[in-house]
Amino acid sequence: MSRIDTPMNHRKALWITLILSLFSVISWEVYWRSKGRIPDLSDDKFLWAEKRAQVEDLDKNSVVIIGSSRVLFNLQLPEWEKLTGTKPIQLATAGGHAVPVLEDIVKNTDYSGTLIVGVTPGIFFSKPSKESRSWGRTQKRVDYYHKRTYADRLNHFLSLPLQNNLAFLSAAENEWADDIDLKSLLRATKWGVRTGRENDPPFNSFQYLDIDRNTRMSHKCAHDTAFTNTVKRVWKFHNEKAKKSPKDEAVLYIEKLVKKFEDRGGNLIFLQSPSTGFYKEQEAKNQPRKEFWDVLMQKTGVKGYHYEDYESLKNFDCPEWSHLSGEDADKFTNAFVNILIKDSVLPQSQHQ
Amino acid sequence: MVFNSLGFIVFFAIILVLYYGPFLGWINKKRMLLFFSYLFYGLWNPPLIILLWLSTMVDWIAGNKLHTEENQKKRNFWLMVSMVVNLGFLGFFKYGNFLLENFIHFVNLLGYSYEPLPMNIILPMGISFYTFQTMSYTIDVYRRHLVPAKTFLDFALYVTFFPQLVAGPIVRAGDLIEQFYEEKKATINLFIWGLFLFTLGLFEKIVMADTMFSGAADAVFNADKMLNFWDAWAGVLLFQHRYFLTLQGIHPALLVCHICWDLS
Repeated sequence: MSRIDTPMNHRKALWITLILSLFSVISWEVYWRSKGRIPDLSDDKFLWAEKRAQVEDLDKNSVVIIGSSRVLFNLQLPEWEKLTGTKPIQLATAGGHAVPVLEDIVKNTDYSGTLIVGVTPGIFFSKPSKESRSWGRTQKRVDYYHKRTYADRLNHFLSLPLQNNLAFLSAAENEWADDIDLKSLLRATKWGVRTGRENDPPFNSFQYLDIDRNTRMSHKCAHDTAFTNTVKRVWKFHNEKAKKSPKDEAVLYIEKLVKKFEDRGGNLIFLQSPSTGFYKEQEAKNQPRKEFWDVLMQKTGVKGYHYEDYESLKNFDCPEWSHLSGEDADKFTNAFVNILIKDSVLPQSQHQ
Repeated sequence: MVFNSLGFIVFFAIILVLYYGPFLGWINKKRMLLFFSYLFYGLWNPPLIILLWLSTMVDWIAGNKLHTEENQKKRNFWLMVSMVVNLGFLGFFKYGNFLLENFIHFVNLLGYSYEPLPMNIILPMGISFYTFQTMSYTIDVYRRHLVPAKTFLDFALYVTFFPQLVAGPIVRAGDLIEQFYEEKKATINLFIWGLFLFTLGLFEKIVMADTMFSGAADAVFNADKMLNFWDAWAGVLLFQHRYFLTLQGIHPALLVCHICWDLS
């Protein structure tokens, strides 16, 4: 090691490195903030697993939400807590199938409280297949939860203050087109079409997420129509050629899980949130209510709330056809919880 | 725990403060390093520390017996004990599934249908490294090339010292154990040099291997159709560089840990 003790001035080099590093980090942060970026948490498997772990200790009075992005955006946890005194655990995954989590909760926990299952027809009634993208997206999180290490937990815990304070760390598991970590910036660089297939339209992040995974649509998406149209283009690109979902397959798969959960005293509630425009038309064509939602209700025999059946749930507009703005999500949550309280389907302790 | 993580930076900082602060004597510093080495390993999967302990205990006992014993048959016996335990663990955990699959294929070839329950064997991190390291100790003592470690603490630290526990390199006992006998302190220049190497290693691993090369390499290797000459070769070279840089990136991380304790 003696060659390391050369006349080179190591201390001076260290100071120069520290100053340059600090200057670079601050400049990079200031640059992104000047572009309007703010620090936000990443909706990733690490945060999801933290919430999933809480399910292990929940009692009968608790509420857990599973499903896809509609219940993630539309059920606002602070609003729910204000009305019932209970903050639900949010386990819905954007673009993810509800069933892998339902299966996990039913088979691997003793949880017997309230389970709100969001039904986004295009995803929920798709063929139950572990190969599908939506299934894989949720299954990946479930698998991660079961094999995460103490080191993973420590790393995530330490990353939270950084994510909360540094805008330039903004990146998500979904790989949004406007993520700004190095990998995303490289990905956004166009090198010509090498794969021979049409480039996907850019899919920009349109939500903010907090430590409870409470998710709100960004103000920009709710009010800037040019931005909203970028999201609409993505929905059309991926779903325009969608075919009719296979009848009964999903319901048959879910039926047994629902029965097992209800048999141990669990309280399962299905919820179909509003959709408008393109999505409403697609759903009417590919998952018509009579053949899908009604059959789900009939076969499982549990409580279900379809937005079309309630005056207070049906008159909402979805800025990008699929999710509610933050303000509307508050109103929707309020209306939905009041219906649940009126129907006495929540545990007695939540009827405040 | 991996080197390129926030957890490791905090973990490393705590150890350095305890090591260079005026709190502990040399023996207690070694105990502290041993404790943190077990913690480093246990943060991944705590129960598997038992394997590490077993391997350490068996080779500590075998090493001492081999040193004092003159009877060749008994010496052979103790060497065999060490080999069977160490290679047994390695064979079961690392090659258990592989051997089972081959056995099933073989039995099926003979016309018998055999479907055992899946074993789901978890591979303990770094098992090859610590297995061969403890075995090298026993073999060197057997060949009378090495006298056993002076204390169990020195031997346990040789087996478990966290910078090399999970990714090697495998160090011969004679090269490392004796360095634990006297207090070690790095000079400030060595220390700063170590930090530079660590930063370089992190850059190679996080920026180059994981960020710049992995996406393109994966796209080529996961391609669902035939690729042209340039794309295929670009993918192969990127893949190769990714792994080279991963190892290259880890190496300075190991080195820095050694530098910080002035170990060679």
